Amino acid sequence: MTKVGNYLDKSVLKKFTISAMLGFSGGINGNSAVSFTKEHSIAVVSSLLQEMVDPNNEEVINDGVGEMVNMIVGMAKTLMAGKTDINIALPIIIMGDGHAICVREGTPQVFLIYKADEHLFSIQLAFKIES
Amino acid sequence: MAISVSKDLIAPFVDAVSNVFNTMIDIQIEKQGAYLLEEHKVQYDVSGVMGITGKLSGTIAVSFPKKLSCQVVSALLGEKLETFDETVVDGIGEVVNMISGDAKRLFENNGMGFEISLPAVVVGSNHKISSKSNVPHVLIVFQTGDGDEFAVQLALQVEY
Repeated sequence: MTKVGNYLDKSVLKKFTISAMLGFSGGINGNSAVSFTKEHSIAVVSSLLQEMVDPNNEEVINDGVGEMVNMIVGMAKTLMAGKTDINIALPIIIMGDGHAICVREGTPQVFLIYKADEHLFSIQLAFKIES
Repeated sequence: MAISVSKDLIAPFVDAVSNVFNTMIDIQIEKQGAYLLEEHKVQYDVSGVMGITGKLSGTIAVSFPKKLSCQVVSALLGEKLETFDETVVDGIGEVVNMISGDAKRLFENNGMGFEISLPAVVVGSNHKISSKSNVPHVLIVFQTGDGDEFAVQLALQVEY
């Protein structure tokens, strides 16, 4: 897996079909989402579960991508320990061709774009530090 | 004390939607029904999403068809917006912010305080929102006076 760039351009997300998103609050308020193409989500969830998942089993794929964003933000929470603390909400899963995740004007938003096995995926982060 | 899902968890969100529309958005709405996600599915174009953390944990999403999202934000801002653009996206973020803020106030009155995260807005024709299979997901459908529908989706869990 390689990180291929940071974009502040929402159009890059137009490639993705499935996203798992969750909010967090505390020392930092914000939300994060991980977005995949349909094909890649099946591969990622299969790898997570260490078995081939049925591409038509929406529930297993949803649960898997939901778990991905949980683990990523959970890990970030651990890495922030001692500096600030966040409480993590429950994820939702969004399915739809070319959906975009936007935030209100004035909220910093960054997309981290990764490449894994020739598939691009994205991690979106929007946040506001509470003073 | 046992928590009644419909009375203690769903009703405050329904009230918050009514309060926000009554005071800030001059569009008549009526609750059409509440369903579990397994019973009823909606696919709209614009969703305002907010995370909730605390004694009550989860996500609220308020989903609109594109045309209604423009009407709602027009009513909120008091200016006619004909086309779907960033102003509408911002406005839908504000709508979910106001609804969750009012719900937070109502839950505090019931001793079930929570914090809200930052709003995000999902834009995409006919997108579908669900949650993990172990989290109850409730859909509340509202209808406007013109017969357009929108939905509030709640994925909530009480933390003990």
